[in-house]
Amino acid sequence: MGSNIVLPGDYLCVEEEFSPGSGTYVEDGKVRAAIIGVPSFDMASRRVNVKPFKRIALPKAGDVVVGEVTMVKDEVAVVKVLGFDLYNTFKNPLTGLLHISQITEQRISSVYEMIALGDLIKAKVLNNYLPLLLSTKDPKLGVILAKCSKCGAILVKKNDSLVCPSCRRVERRKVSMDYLAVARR
Amino acid sequence: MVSVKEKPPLIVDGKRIDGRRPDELRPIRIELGVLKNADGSALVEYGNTKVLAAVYGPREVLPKHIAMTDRAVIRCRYRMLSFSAEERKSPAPSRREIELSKVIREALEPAVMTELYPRTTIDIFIEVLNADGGTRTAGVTAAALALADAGIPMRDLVAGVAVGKVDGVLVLDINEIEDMYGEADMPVAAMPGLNKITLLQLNGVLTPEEFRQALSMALMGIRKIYELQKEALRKKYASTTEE
Ligand SMILES: [Zn+2]
Repeated sequence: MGSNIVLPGDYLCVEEEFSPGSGTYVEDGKVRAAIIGVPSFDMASRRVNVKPFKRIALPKAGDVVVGEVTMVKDEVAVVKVLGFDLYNTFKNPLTGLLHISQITEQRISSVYEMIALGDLIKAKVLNNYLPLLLSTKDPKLGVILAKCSKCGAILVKKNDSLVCPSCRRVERRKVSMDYLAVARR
Repeated sequence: MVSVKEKPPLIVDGKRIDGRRPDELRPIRIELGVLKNADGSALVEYGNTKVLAAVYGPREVLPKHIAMTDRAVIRCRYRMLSFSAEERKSPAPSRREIELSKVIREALEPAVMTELYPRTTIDIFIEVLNADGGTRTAGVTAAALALADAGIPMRDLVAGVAVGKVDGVLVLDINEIEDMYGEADMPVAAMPGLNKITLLQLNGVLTPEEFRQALSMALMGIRKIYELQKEALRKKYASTTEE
């Protein structure tokens, strides 16, 4: 069972046979493992990958993450990215930036129209480095939990708007389809 | 600890003060994943020398100004733990600890693929739990294991060992007494799979011929330690695939 495990530095093949995929590297024409994992030689793409045992806790482009909005300006919101989801959080939060152009397909003139301080958001990662660049354009993405700016109660989703259950205030956000507090019909 | 005031005979009937042959390593023990909160960790013993390495990261750099835009920054802290009250010292690292932290970091840097994680840090903490010679090279061996255990991409594992010259004889994997009274000591670390040396220091004097012999003795020891590293990693991860 353990015989197909490879370790950093282990020789896999020459570059002419399979090109180096994820979890590998090439040096002097030799493809070697860079991580502990199980190698897979893909015949169709002529590529060798090493599937890791441990996932590095840094999101990659295309990953969906959750985070808390810690600062809002006209052009950008700063997000403390907490994890891949609320049950799978990172040991150390990461800094994310949500630019006005990446919030919604609609034209808006300020981030404040759609995002507020303290909002919990679900967003897609657009890049592979820090700070993470985020997008909430997809209907499943956006604010998943928000508090009333007047009284602090958790806003409830009613049709397409967010309503405060205690002071009846209505607030506007880029709301995710997965908003967590939904009014009973 | 043995308290020695005068230099004892270090080679008697071809054997060393602890009974080893000149080219013999001490018993080496490796334990992986000992710290649950670290991303990777390893405990390594070379005889009575015992070091613990913990790795955290890659993670966001704080303070931000030390971040590199094209690669991860590796930070390393080597620390001598002292348990006894009279030895207790200030929490600030000593000059020796600062120097060894740098030496160990530089021995590991060629192996770590830092270019994959720009603007992050990889933090390595090495605690010397018991010092009986060779703590920097045991630290390199332990840190390389902890990095691999953390899932951090590396070109190869790194292993280290020190060779010394005692009573005119070259000896592998020196202990504290041999280090203290020997004529020379030479810590070496390498990536054996790639035939690359990542650390080579020489304290004392060796002839060119002795140097050549000492280096080949060190690389032979490093090969053996490397095999033990691989065996330990395979054993840990083979058991996780069976679950
Ligand atoms: Zn309210």
